[in-house]
Amino acid sequence: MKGYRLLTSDIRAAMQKQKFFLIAGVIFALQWISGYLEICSDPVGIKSNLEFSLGEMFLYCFQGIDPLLDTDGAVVLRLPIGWLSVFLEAHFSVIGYAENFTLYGQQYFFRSGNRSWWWISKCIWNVSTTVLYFALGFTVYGLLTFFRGGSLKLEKMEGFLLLIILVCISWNLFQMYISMYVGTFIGILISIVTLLSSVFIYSPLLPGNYLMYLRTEKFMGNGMKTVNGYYIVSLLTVIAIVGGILKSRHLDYLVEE
Amino acid sequence: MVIRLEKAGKKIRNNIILDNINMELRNGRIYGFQGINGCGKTMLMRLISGLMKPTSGSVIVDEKILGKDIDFPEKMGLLLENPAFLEHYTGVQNLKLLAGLKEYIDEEQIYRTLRRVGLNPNDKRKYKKYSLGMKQKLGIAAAIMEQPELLILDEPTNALDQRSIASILNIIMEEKKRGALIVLACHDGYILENLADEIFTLENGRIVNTLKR
Repeated sequence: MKGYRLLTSDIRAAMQKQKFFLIAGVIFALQWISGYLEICSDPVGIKSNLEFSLGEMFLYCFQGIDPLLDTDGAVVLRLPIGWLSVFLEAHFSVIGYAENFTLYGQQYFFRSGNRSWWWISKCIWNVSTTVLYFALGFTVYGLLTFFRGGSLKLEKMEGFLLLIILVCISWNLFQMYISMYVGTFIGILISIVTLLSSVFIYSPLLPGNYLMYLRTEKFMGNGMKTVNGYYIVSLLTVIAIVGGILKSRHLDYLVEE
Repeated sequence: MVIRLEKAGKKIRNNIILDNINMELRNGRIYGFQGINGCGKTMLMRLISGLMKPTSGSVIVDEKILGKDIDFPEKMGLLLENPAFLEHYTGVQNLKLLAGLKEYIDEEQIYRTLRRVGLNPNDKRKYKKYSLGMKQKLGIAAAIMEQPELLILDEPTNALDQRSIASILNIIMEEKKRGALIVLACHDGYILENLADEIFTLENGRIVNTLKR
């Protein structure tokens, strides 16, 4: 009961800080859709012959970019700006946790009554926010597809969508965990650098590679294995939750404003 | 409530912040702490509140070791440094949010507390529009609203006018009569001499003088 009260208060407090990011998420979704609709309605567009469906729209949004190597094996400098914006926004959507490391958060910290519960509540809030971010985006996609008479079939995207949500959840938890050590600004900076590195470095150790459909084993054959994605998700989640509990047990709340 | 500090000390990056603090604090009394800036008053309050862990010795609250048996004293009100609240919420909304964590009190008690510190509970202004004095009063309201057994107040008279100071000192005395254990840090020696039952003077993280009244 105590944990429940802590969590609901956490969500109420944090929503105030992050609602702008979530609204921005919906606007991003609308931008994506308008881009997709433009391609679909273009008589000579590359997708003009495809059926208009939710699955195709997700593919358009989450395709990312193929490994950036030219025929000589050198890295080609290209940026999938749209794809990056979706996932950067996902990382920013949980930035409300910064409130927990301020003087205001101090009131929550001691009122929680238990340091471990305090951290677990933050983790549940973090996961809820990431899920909400994707739920809002997907709902906008679904509604517009429906009202435009498109098919709501996800086709080959089902498993991939689950993986990207889980990768984002685990990374956002990890981002919050490292922010306890390095501060909120450096924490988000590490997320940005890691996401950007994923574009240029084709490695199973960089989570961003699992967020691009064009790099999956489904598309490339020898692409990123889904099972490895789940290993990364599990590892990051365990580090963030267990590490966070251990850190919070010894945390000195010394913040000054 | 009885709080005992036994050889409590704190080091941060090899700097001794608090050194060999021994004291016993009992309910129904006011304990004053004085000393120059950086002498360790706020750090000592953090130690007593459980916000910070000692690197040596221990803090014992009702025979329970802080950080081992319990993480924080159960019924505690705290105003440490500057008050901080959610800027886009009104005073009432902020207090409701905090009170919701423990559900010890209802809305009426929140309203009563706000009136007690001299704030209007029906004030629709957001916290960010509050003056410094109003922010301080809201911080005090948050600390006392749940009728805590342990009340820690760090410079509670900051930013207050003379009339408000008198009102807040009156509240502190009322809280003492209710049976709360009050830990009070204040730059104003005159306030401490008039309120505190025991005054500790800190210097470089050590208690150098104790004055009992």
